[in-house]
Amino acid sequence: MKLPFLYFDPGTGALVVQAVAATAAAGALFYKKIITKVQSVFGKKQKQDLMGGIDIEDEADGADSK
Amino acid sequence: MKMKQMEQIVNRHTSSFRDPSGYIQVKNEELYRHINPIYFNQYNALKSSGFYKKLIDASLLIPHEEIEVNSNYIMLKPEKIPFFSYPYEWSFSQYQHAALHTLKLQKYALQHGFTLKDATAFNITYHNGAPVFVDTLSFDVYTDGEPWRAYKQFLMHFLAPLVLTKYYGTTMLKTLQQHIDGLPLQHVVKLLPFKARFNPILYTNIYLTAKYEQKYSSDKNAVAEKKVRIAKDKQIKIIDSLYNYVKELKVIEKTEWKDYYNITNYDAAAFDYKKQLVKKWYDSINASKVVDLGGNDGTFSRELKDHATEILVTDIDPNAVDYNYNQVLKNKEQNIIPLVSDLLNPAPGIGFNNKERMALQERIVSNNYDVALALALIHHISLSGNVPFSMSAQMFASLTPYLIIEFPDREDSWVNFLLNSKREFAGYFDYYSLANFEKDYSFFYTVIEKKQIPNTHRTIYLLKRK
Repeated sequence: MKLPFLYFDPGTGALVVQAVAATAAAGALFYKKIITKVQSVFGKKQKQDLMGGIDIEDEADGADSK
Repeated sequence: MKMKQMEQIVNRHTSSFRDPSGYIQVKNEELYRHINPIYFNQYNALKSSGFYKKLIDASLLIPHEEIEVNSNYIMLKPEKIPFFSYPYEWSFSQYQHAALHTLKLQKYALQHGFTLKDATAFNITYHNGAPVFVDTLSFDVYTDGEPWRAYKQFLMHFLAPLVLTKYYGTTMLKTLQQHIDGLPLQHVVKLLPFKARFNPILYTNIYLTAKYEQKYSSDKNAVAEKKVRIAKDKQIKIIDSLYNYVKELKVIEKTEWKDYYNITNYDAAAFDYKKQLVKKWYDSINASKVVDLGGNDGTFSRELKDHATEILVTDIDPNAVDYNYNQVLKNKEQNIIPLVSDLLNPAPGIGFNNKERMALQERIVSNNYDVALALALIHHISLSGNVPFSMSAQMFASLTPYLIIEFPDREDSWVNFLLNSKREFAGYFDYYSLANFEKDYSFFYTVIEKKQIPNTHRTIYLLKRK
């Protein structure tokens, strides 16, 4: 069950726009992928990454249960 | 019964009222999270799926312990956060990191069948050297195809201030102090330079959202909301692209701080003498918590990091604070919190009843720091801010029982520079002298030790509050 009421307005427009934003996002991600590839071909070093990437690796479930 | 109700009302934390899912209670200076039955399903799903544990193990969410479960409420005890910083006190990197943390959390939640139901920047604070999400009840069960309800809030609280900062500098990071609910997007569109619309991320996320918001603003029945469907992988694409965009944002701004230590007027030996003395005095009073006021990039308080459990370093210069935060990340320092704050205008209490977000001075006092450092600071407060000695002494004395303070005399080149900049009013500052300083501070403090820093015109004191 969802919470039956919201305590702030999510904004209808902000929900509708996400379909459009997703298309642009896909474009931007594709572009970034190409740029990164090209840079790595030319040996551009990535600078020190203090904040890390977005993905979190799940530990294998039950790995330490044995 | 009435007594109990009254107790509940009085004990409720002053910042905790927006979400009907539950609220925070304060009992004997400890925080407890009270969950209402309306959120039981979500809570149980989060708990039984093991997602709470995953979030806590990944240091994304503040850990909690379940204290009590009955049919009326569930009570949790979250891990204590000694000092709570607010978004308008963060440097650029801190703000950026908090935004990334929120996106990371939403992507991870989606991957596990949950979603963030709100994304306010006040749900993040700095703890153990990194951002942490503090609102355990901000998650909801994800229904396939639903758009992200907190998307607009993310834009208003994070993306908008960061993008404005990119174009106009770090004063824009303080905008949430004025707009506690985030920056209205239509306002942001008016503020952004014309060229910003040519960036596809900004165009879709800010310009289009502002436009659609206006278009649907009269649609109070939210008819369209029911029709909106967006596949999960598409929502993840938005999150990923925002992550990439925010991560690469930069702000270029020169400030007074750059090369500050190169233009100060003491040599390496004097610098080292000061460091050793601070360390020695700090140990002599058995302190464990220190607040370094005007602490620049944390050079001096960092000397205490193996001796202190908590170090709060405030400075007016957002670049110095940013440099400090990058050091914290690089060295994985868990006990240092860098904070942007102007001593002449610290963050006030804001929001409902002026108590939703507490004043900085109040937060410092309630965290019971043992000692304050005020190194190379008094001349700025006195000569730039025109604050009389008696008033600065009273302010310091209100914060901590001990004070380590450095007094640069009139012969010091910085003081000289500040005095000269007063031009014809320089005479008004004749009171600025070691003798007057000692006289006025003696109303509030006893001198425990006093040392002249060799080859400088500076004296440093260890003071104890009377």
